[in-house]
Amino acid sequence: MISQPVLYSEWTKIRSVRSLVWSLVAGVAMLVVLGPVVCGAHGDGEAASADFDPVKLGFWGLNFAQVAVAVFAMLSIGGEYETGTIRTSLAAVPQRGRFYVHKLLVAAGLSLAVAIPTALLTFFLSQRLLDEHGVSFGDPGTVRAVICLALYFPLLSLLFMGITAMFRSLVPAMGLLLPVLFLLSPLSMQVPGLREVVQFLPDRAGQYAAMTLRPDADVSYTAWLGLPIMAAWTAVAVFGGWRVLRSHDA
Amino acid sequence: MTTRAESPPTSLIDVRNLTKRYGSTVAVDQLTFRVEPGRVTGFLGPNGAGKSTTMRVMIGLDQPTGGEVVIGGRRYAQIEQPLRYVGALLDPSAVHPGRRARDQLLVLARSNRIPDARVDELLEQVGLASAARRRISGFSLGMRQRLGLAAALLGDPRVLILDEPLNGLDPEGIQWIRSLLKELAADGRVVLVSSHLMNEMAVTADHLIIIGKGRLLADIGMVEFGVQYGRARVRIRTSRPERLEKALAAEGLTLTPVGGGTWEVPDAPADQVGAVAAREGVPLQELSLREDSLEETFLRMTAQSVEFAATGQRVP
Repeated sequence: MISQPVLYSEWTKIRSVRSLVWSLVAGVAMLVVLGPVVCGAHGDGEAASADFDPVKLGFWGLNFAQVAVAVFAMLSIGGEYETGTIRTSLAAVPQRGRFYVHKLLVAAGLSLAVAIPTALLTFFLSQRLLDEHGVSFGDPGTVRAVICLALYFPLLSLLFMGITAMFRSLVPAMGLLLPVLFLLSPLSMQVPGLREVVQFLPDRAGQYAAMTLRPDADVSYTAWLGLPIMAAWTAVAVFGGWRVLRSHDA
Repeated sequence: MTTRAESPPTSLIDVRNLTKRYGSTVAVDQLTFRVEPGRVTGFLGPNGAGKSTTMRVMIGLDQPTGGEVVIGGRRYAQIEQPLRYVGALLDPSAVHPGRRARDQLLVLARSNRIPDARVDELLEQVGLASAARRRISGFSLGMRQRLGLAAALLGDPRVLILDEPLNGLDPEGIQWIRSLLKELAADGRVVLVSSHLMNEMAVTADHLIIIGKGRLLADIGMVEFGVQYGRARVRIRTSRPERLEKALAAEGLTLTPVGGGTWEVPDAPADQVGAVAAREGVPLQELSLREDSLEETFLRMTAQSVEFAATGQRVP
């Protein structure tokens, strides 16, 4: 059951901490700026190459934006543990399931709310800058890419909030997960032996759904399936976080 | 769902056979007591006695290993909008340092449908109105303590649970909290205040719950505590202690030196000591009655609890 006061309180929490606001702003900015900048710098030569994908290029900023979104998600729940605020929060909302669900709802909802306009803006900006090499909204695969990009933000937020709740701490969550997201996972895609496994990781699957116009021969599922794969990981993380929150003393 | 938590007629804290273990450490051991409304109850014990643990269980942060705590007939987690019924100050540093003081209170108020105006009212009341828009990272411990108190009072609760609220406050602040607590109690509220300093409680509390090693040592009125547990001793100054010592020993009393030609006779009526001295012809330069301070009585009591706990015996 949704409680409007608890939603309002969680919204107030996010709004009143600078690091939370700025990490989300940084995510939006990187997505909307980096891809179009690269698109603007593209010439006919690059566009003629075999692996040219206008959507992949336009959404290139997601590689960096996702780190900011992950930081936002980890700070929003990990910050409670780091500062001890979790005890004050649970004194105000002692029903732990209610606390957890509303916290996730607000952070994920906010991610989605900023992601929808950002995804659209990034698409139109980047495709326009690509001129004749760009695609139009409605061309095969473009609608799917934009929808999946918009959903990537809230799914990633939920995934990282769930994992941080499982750790009950900010530092290990950040120290372990950010290098994976930023380095290990994308680099492993270049390694033939690892690629078959790594492509099923949540960030890879989500990005494949959001950043591919033409199917990649190295990926063994269709682009649409990327999002359900990411959502399955997210569901497991959210459930794991709930189990830990429910059973531990605060 | 959104209605205000009803205050049952008996709004009291009922700790029933509470046990809390962390691994092999027993923090609270079959603790049973009630906190009645209308008086300030001091929750006293040395550091590590289990006070904070008991209070954490009270507001549902920790799950008891055995027993339970009910407040006004319900467990804390069953209370809808609990801040409107129970106000707690457990750890004044359990706030986000990057948040402004007013925002911190708004977060709590909004979660329990307490109007925003109440936040400004309380910031004024605890003396933080001028710091309302400052980030908590710049707050002293005393200011955090005041902010924590404002958070506890936010919902105008019938029950107050305050863990060491006097820590970090200046004398003026301590004075202010004392009169506030007395007012709240006089208003018929349940007021439980923990401390590890007896002297602090002696002028604050009307009733005492004393625990040591997680067990109940005393559940007693402030006045009765001194009478029942306090010990009197007779202090004397004499030039011939040897003769007096022998004579007192014959009556089952002991003479112990306290330095500077002064001796004390524990647990003895002054007239008995005076009579013995006169009979034996021992000159006395001083004969006076000394009573243990409340602090001394408390320390003796809790020191015993450590011994008794070690041998598994119960303290009466």
